[in-house]
Amino acid sequence: MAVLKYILRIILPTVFATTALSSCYSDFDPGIDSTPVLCMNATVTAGKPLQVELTRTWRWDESVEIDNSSIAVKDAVVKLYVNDQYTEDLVYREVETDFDPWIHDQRVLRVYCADNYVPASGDHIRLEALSEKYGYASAVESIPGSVTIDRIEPAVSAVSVAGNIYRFDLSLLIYFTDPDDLTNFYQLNVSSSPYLRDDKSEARSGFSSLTVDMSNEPLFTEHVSTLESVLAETWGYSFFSDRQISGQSYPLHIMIKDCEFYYSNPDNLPEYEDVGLDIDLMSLSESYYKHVLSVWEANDGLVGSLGSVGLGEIVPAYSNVSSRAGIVAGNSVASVRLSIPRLLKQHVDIDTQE
Amino acid sequence: MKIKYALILGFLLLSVLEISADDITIHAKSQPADVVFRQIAGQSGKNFVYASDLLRGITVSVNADNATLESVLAQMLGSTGIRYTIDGDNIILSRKPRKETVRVTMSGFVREQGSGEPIVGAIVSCAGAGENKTAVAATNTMGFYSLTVPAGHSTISVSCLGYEASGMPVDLQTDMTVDFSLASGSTVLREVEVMGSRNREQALSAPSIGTINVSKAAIASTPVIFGESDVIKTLQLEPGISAGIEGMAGMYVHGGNTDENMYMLDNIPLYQVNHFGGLFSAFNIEALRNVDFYKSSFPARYDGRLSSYMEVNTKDGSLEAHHGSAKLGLTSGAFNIDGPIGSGGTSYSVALRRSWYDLLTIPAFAVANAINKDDKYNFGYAFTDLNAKITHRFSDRSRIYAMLYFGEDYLRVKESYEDSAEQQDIVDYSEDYHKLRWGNIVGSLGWNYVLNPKLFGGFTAAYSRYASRLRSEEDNGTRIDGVTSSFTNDCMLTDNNINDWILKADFDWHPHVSHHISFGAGYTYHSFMPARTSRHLTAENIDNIITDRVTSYHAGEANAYAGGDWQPFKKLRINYGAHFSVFDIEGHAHAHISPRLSARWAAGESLSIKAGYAHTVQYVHQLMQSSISLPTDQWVPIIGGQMPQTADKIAAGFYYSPVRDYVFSVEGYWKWMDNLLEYADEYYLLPPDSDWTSKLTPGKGTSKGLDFKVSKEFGKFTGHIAYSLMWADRQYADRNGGKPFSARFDNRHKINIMVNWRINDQWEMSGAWTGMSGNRFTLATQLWNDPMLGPWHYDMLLGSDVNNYRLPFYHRLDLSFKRYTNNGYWTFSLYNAYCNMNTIAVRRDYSEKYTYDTVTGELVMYPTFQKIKLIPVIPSVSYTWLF
Repeated sequence: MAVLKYILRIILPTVFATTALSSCYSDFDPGIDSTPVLCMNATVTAGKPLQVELTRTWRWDESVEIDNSSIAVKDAVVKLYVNDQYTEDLVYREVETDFDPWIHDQRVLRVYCADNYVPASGDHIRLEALSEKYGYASAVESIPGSVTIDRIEPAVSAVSVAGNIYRFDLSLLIYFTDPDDLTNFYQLNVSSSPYLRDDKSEARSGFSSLTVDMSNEPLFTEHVSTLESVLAETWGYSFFSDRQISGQSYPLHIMIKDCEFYYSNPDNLPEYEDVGLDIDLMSLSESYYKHVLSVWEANDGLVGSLGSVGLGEIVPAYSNVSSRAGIVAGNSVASVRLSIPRLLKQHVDIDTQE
Repeated sequence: MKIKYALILGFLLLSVLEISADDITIHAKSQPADVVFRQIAGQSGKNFVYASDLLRGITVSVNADNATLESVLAQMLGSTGIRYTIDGDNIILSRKPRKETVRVTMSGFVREQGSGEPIVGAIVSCAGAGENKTAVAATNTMGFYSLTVPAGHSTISVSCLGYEASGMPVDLQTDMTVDFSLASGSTVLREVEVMGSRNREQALSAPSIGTINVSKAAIASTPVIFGESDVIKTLQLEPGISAGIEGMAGMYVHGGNTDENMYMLDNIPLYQVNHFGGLFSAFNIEALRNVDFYKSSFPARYDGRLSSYMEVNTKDGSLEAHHGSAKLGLTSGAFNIDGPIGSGGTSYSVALRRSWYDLLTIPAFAVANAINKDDKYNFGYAFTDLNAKITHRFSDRSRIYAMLYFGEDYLRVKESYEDSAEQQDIVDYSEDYHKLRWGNIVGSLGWNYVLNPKLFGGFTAAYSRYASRLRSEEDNGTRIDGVTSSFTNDCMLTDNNINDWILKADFDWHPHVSHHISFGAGYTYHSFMPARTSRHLTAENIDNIITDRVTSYHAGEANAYAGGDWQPFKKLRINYGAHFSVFDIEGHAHAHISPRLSARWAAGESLSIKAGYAHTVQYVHQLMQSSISLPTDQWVPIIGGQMPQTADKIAAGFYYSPVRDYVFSVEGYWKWMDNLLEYADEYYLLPPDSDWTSKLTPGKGTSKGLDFKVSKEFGKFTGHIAYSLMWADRQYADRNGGKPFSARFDNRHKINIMVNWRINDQWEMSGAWTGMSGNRFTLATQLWNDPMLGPWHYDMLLGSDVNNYRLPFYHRLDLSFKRYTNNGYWTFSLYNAYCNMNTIAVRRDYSEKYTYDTVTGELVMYPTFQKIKLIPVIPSVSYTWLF
């Protein structure tokens, strides 16, 4: 489907012409002024430390360092209010993170940290930032409660074994029950747990190849209109609301084809049995959901696709920050790990394989 | 004039003496009449009876000695306009009746010789009938005219652009019917000059402003993209009309939106007028007979749209022989035929046009599917137009017709996947199927009847439907040993339609040669279904059907109008009228009256000055997500607390035509629009099946400008040069933060040069040059840092003011050449002949110029703004076979 959609998305924006219209591009300076403003980003997750990233916006034709070092705002005053009570001033720090796949390196986060507060479900927070150079920005956000995963029904098929490498297809039904209260927003993440390896004992456990196909789950395309279903790309999009399943128990459908799992555990180490899939059901705030939806609409949706080539209006990213730059996104996470070795043992006599 | 009669009984003198009535002696010179009558009464013994104001200011002279009463009275009253009668002892005075001119009405039809098609806008003039001046009338859409003139010998003549003029002497003594058949310019020798210009007549004589008659020949000679002649693309060359996106059949009249134009096919509104995203309009010129377009002054019969009205009349079909044409072009083919049915006055006309695209894609996908065993693709797109009409003439006074129009776009996309490569007993499958249909159906039944030589009536019953149905179904699952073990089915259906049932009666009344009145009434029953989406989700333990809250709406719209074209004296001509309408929906009745007034002052034989005012109202409007035509652009009524959209427009113009060939005009306008509706900021964040009214915001707009035009409609070289100076602004409560902004197609300056050169009998050449200020564009320059919340890494756009940037100046030249053969003609055309690829948008991307970091050796790319230039020179060729 992706190929066809790609073809259509190219054809239609180019004025729906089927003849060989050849568009071309030329560099130029549009000659209009624009002023940078303060941008405030924070992913506020229940139970995790609060960190706020302050940057300035930049003009597109200005070269910006990929690690944000040139746009970081380090001298701002950032105040935190929780449930309408002033809590503390956040402190600027530079924190080194794990490997960042986007920059293929470790990343230094330039963030303002809360030392005395850990977000909790149900909290209402307000962040205010003031920079002498880039002005003021504030945002208000609520942290939703988490929704647990009731159960997971995995189905393994097409298993083949080559030494310690197991190849198979895996489909998952991930059941959860939507609370019958307000409108709820979610994201499902399915990822491999860390690969375990002990070179001394040759023990290994983990996915060497994993591609999660979200396209079987219709809730992930509920934001797509009928016309967009012909034109738009939804790859990897796993955000959804409870609009269609409010108050119901529902299984999310996930397909993982051509899995390649390496398993060797001669010493029967228990931690090697727990390796598999990390399944996170994230409960999102409305602002979080609107932001990702706007980014999808801007880049893959009908309105944004047409707007980007002058046939419609552009779609700016949704922001709940007063400067219209940045997002303070509240969420809670419920996680389950699915053990692949135990699952495989139901289909293959895994202990006899070498 | 109110006249008060009072009888005055004059007992001025009652003599007891018998006096002979023949013995009156009286001498008076310029004496007040009543004084002299008093003396006569004294001598004759008679009473004078007369209205109190009859003798006011009247003086008489008399010189009589022993004369009879009758001779004295005759001498006195000879030149006063007063007559007398003697009734016994009373002499009754009264005004002499004025000498009455006998008037007769001449009426009839003007038709095309050979085909019998009515000719609209032909000028019928009657010279020298009694009053030593020329009376003029124009034929209506059915070719009917009516002239009431003094009896006597006259010369009547008929002219119309594109036809050989005709005339003859007539002796008008009683009402009479005179029909004319004019030879078409294409059927007479090319050396024969065709006479008369309706547009010149409109410019100099008619009080209306901004009225354009578009002939079929003018449409056919306009060079257009892919060689697809198009009435809307012809009108795009007129001043005051912005074309919108390049190549599209968009029409933004005097700063309005596209849904503010009323398109009528044989007097019936048509909602969807575009095919293929707007690249082509729905009007197949082979089916057309006449097009009238109004952009400033609107006749009282029209209302319901804010910006313009276009009336398209389709062909009736020839009564004499079967004619037709077949056209083969690069993008579509067309076939039309018309002719008589039997010999009893019945004719037919059928025109069909269809695109070729789906036929071109079939082999391409067949090859792709043969190569790929797992994935199967199927794709098809086509558009179709069908016009059909049957007309029967019972007599010269009575005519009935049935008309059908069907226009549709159709898109079908199907992709199926079935993976059975590795293990035959476990099969993963998916099937995506999308089917989109959208278009119009119009059916109408009409009866035209000449009720009397001064009164023409038209009665119409019609059904008009616009509908779009978008269906998308995705099926995914796994079959193990033929049994489905895990599956989902997601079916989405979006319906948008509008159905109108229409009854109307229209009358043209010609009570006097200088006064023409139109009046009529109608009723339309509307049924709306604004984009209702239902979604059916099926999975293992789920079977949900969700239908959004959109419901259908029903509305009744009644209207009545009356308007006149009155020429109280030679220099002044006035068009006046009002259109009254009531739109009743969901228990809310909106009543509205739209007054119209325009006047022309003839400052000389060749110079006219005009001014006018028009108020319009619009109860239904189209919600558009983009600047191109999409099947999701639903038509919706005003509901709930929404108010009807209204516009007030004032306009004025100067028209000068020193010689017959040239007409110079300058028209200015200023328009205020209220209660406009538009998508609000961030409406796309609401679910696609949410209530559509929650996505809208009300607003207002203004536009103003000047339209200059010089046109030449005669000779081997014809064409026009037009320049427009325009402003168009909008302001909505929830758009652009409530701040005013320039409209998307606020093209400040626009120049159009259109030339047609009839080189000889075989060759004809046309050229059209367009130059204009670029369209407005929302250019976001600032970006913000990606918070990394999704499965992507994009720079986030910071919102900016709407339409904050004007694209560079736009210009292009289109050329077309026609080569006539014995059986038809070839059309060769070049769109954008000198290949100036105009900028349609600005994008953010990286420059092709790059460097390498001197230290790390890494590639260094430079972000830059880039102009997106789209359409190069496009040649096309078509052949039209005439039979």
